[in-house]
Amino acid sequence: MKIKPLVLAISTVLCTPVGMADNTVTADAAGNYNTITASQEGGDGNSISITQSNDNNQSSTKQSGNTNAVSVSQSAEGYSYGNGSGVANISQVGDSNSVGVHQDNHNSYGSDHYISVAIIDQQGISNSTGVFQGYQLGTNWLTIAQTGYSNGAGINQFYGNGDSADISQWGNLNSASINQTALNSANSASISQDNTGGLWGYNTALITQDIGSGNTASITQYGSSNKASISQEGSNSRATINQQGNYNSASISQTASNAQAGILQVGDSNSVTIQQTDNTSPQITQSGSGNTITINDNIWNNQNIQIINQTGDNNTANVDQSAATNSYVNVNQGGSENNSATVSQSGDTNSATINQNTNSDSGHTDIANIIQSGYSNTITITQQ
Amino acid sequence: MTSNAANVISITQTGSGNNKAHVTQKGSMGDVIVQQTGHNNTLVQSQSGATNRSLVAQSGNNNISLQGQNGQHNTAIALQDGQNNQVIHHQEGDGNNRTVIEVGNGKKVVITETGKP
Repeated sequence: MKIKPLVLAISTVLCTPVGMADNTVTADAAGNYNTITASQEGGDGNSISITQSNDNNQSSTKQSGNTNAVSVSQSAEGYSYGNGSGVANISQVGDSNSVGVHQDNHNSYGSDHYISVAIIDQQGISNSTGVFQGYQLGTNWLTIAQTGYSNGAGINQFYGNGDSADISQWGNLNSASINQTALNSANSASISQDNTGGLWGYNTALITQDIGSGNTASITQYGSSNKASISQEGSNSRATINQQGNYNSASISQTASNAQAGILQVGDSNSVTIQQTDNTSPQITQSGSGNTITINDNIWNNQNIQIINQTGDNNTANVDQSAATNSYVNVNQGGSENNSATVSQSGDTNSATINQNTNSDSGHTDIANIIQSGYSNTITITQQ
Repeated sequence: MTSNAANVISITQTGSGNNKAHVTQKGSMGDVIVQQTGHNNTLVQSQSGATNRSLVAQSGNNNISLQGQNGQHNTAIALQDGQNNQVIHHQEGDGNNRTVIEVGNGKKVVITETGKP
């Protein structure tokens, strides 16, 4: 039986036990255009569980206290309806809280205008969030904000069109991961971690985008001792990492053609690792000292353009292009002491350029090393 | 080659040839080491400063090595093994500038030196 909107089932659950613990709210609704609101404030060990099936359902939950939990499931039922435009809005204040969201149009039924939305806000320490959004003909849309330390967020968006996921974390010892598998259109993922003013960040960010084409991923980290990693398997992908602070590491792996990678690091003792294949053009800029860059293009690289800029002293750049054709490497090291650049190219019609500023009166050594094997290759090295 | 130089440039081009290398080094106590194999290779090198060293080894035919040095106590060495190769050394400056050339089956060597020995 088809359920008509606005006629049926507006189910509202409002539960507000103040200052009590171990309370449980359980709400189930089957139908369209249902709205569930649940609030638990001031207690510990509380839980809210919401299950909504069919289309255009919404839920809104609030919890304050510690060791609280929210679970929201919005999914299709039978073979007639999908979770067309489900919305889950969750807010938690306190420590050791958890959120689980499952939005699933497993029938892949409905319109490509459908949008599953999850908005999650957590404030406190040792909080966690896990979200699955899948099998959506339309778009999955997610945003998570976590303020505090030792928080974690894990996202899986599976088979949507033009999905987007954004995670913002403020504090240290946080971790965030996004996994996206595209159905047709390109997905986008973004992670921001900010520990400005803190001594050590120890934040980690991981984005994985399987298959698809034209996916975009970006990670921004402020603070020290952070790690950022992006892995993209689809063609025409774009990855961007921006890190400001010391002892940070950035890693990008792109295994399909026509990928673009950009990395900016400002600070000392940072490192970059990039692995790519055909028609790629990473642009890397490091500003500071004691930084390292490692690029490995190890599988049939054609028309790769790699531009590396390092300013500061004691920096190292290593580029390896194997089986490359018509590829170009440009390494610019703007410091004047103890910089080192090594470029290795095997293949034909490749070119490599190294520019180093030097200060021979300082007693330090700058090293430029280029190794090419093949035909009609070109090398240009300038030390001055 | 062990180097105690302030700056070091090392180039290796191997394969059938037609490779080009262009090197510019400014400052003192620098080393440039170039190895090219194959045919129709070209090296153009410029060093300005004192006590610099340049070592070029080319094996193959129709290779060209142009080594220019401007300063004092510089050293240029070119080794070529093949046919129709060409070495051009141009040194400007005073002191003990030295040039050592070995050409096997080569055809043309041009050396110009200005300055006091």
